[in-house]
Amino acid sequence: MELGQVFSNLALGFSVAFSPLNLFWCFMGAFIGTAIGVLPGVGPVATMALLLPITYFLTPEGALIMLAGIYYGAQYGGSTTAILVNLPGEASSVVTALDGYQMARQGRAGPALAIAALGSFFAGTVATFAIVLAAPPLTKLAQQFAPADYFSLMTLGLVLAVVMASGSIVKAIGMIFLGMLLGLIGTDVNTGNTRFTFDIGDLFDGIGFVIVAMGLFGIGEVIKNLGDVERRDLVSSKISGLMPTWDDIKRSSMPVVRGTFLGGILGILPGGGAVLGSFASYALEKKMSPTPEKFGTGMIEAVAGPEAANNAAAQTSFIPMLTLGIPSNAVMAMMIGGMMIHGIVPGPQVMDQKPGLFWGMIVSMWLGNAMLVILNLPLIGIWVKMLLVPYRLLALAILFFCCIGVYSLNNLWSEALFMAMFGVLGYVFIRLGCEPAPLLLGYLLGPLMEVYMRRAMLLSRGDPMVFIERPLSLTFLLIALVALILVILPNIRKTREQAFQE
Amino acid sequence: MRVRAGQELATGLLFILIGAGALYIGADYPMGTPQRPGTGVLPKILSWCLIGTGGVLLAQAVVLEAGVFKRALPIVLGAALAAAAVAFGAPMVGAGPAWAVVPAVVGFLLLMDRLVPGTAWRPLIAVTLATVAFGLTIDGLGLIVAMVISLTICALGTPETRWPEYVGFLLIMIALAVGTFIWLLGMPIPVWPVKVPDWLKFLR
Repeated sequence: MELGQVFSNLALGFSVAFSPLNLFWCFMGAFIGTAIGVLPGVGPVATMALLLPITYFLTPEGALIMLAGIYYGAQYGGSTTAILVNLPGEASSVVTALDGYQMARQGRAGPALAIAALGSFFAGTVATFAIVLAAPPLTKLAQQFAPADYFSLMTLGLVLAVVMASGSIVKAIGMIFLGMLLGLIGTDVNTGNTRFTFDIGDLFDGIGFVIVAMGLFGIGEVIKNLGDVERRDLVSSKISGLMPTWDDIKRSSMPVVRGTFLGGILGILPGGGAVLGSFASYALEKKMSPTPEKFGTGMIEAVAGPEAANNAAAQTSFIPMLTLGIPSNAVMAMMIGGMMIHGIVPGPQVMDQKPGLFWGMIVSMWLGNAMLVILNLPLIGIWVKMLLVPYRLLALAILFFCCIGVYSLNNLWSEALFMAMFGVLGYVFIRLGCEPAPLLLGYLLGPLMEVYMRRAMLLSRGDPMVFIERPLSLTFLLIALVALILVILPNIRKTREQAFQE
Repeated sequence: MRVRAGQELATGLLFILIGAGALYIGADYPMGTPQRPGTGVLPKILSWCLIGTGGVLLAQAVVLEAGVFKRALPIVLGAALAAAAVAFGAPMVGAGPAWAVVPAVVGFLLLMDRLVPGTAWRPLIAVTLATVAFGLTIDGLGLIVAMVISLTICALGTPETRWPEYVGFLLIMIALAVGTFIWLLGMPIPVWPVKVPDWLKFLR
């Protein structure tokens, strides 16, 4: 692709992202994201689920810009509390807490925070450019996909989601099947028959994505967190001087570059994302360091690398969603949910049909990252104060947002009851050690896969060989197969478990 | 290991139950032809896959702890009996056999608590009831009544609730909710009671 095209795309994106209203939603997203990133027990997935119904009232551009802001804002917020009070607000900042908190205890919280923010900003900038460069060719490729290729690609996506899921593989597989089954509830669009509706009229259109997501991630986690005894002792470490020393910058520059690269690649993979990126970067930095034994005692490399990696991964995980319309993790599933609320069918056609939305969102991500550096560093005192909000009040607010959100979608009171059921189910999954994210992906992809399977079978006149005769389709299926075999092999499984334990 | 085994067993049973249920309900969905796969193809495939996955989990549970089934047996038997009783008994009093789902769900929750001790019953019941209460009241009784009822039930879910603080917080929440959702976003939700909710219609 020519350079001129890149610039005209970016110019279009800038004109959309810089409109006052979209700037405001970008800011709101980044702000809300930081706030929930700071609060333990409220994740980005749950928050995006909560805000999905509200985005119905915004323009499509504003909605997606805000939802994206929540995601990367949460990365920043999560690392702030990880460093200051050893409480990783998000799973992706667990690694940051290891050395970041040690730095804070040595009175070097300021440099740790500054390096984390600047490293993240660098990674966000690079990753945004990666999206700009990668999106058009990938979209071109995707436009040549036949139904069979799509079916196989989605199979690959689900398999990789299983491989990357922490915890039991068998359970993750089951959760995908369960999610796909739940996705089939309602009217079969091809034949008009209803499935699993129990003759309940409100189920004929299926169970809304928002209901499932808010039940599993919102209500379920409220139940769990209310059951845990609260222990949030605030170690108020004084933040004296944000400026990192020259030595800090020298030591963290290479880890930031490496983290950006590693996180960027892991982010594109289905099932990957910010968590994996930060863990992998920590492991890499430990390997590269001349003094690996010092990791865990406040090494700035161990803050810089993973922070850059998780932000890069957070950005590049948009690539498969934007170009192929396939969610690679639960957050991207939320983004797709946000698109569908506005009647936009995610897929390669979005870039051609809605270039303003597409490029505006990408540019807004870079803008949002810049806003976050400004938001975060001077306002750290305020964020830490937010930790003082007790969960007993937070729970009320979350519950109310879930209820009003679900009701505002269709003004159907029965949907609150469905959400209550998914809330219980979500809590059961937490107790049983089942990750709900694969279920959500299966729920979204199941009905789509059925559509593509039917089209493929129709085109091939009922010959199932079409899935292995098309080279693209065969490639996807082979990769999926290899990934599954690798995961089941005992020795790789052991290292995988180790990686998730660290 | 005991907890792990319990988790695998309970998850396996859950998958098998749902898979079998889906297979039973979807038994007469048309299968179509290979060229035009029907409504029933994917449900059947997925049901069997789910049952199979559940079976693997049961096997894993036994490998982890040989006696795990012994722990589960009394509750499984009890719940199965209760569900069967409801399935046959409900039609006699004019209700559908689908009510058997209720003892099945309660039985499963009890089983989960036995296998994986530490269920937070109080928040589980309170938060679920609070959500249900919101659904039952919002349509007809309006936003304010729904908020007061459902948030109070939710607040009962934790011993940490401080009631004076709760009342203050509730008032702020109501003010914010009316301000944002009704005035700012213009959602078509009644603020005050306007009618008897639909589900109460049978009383009249």
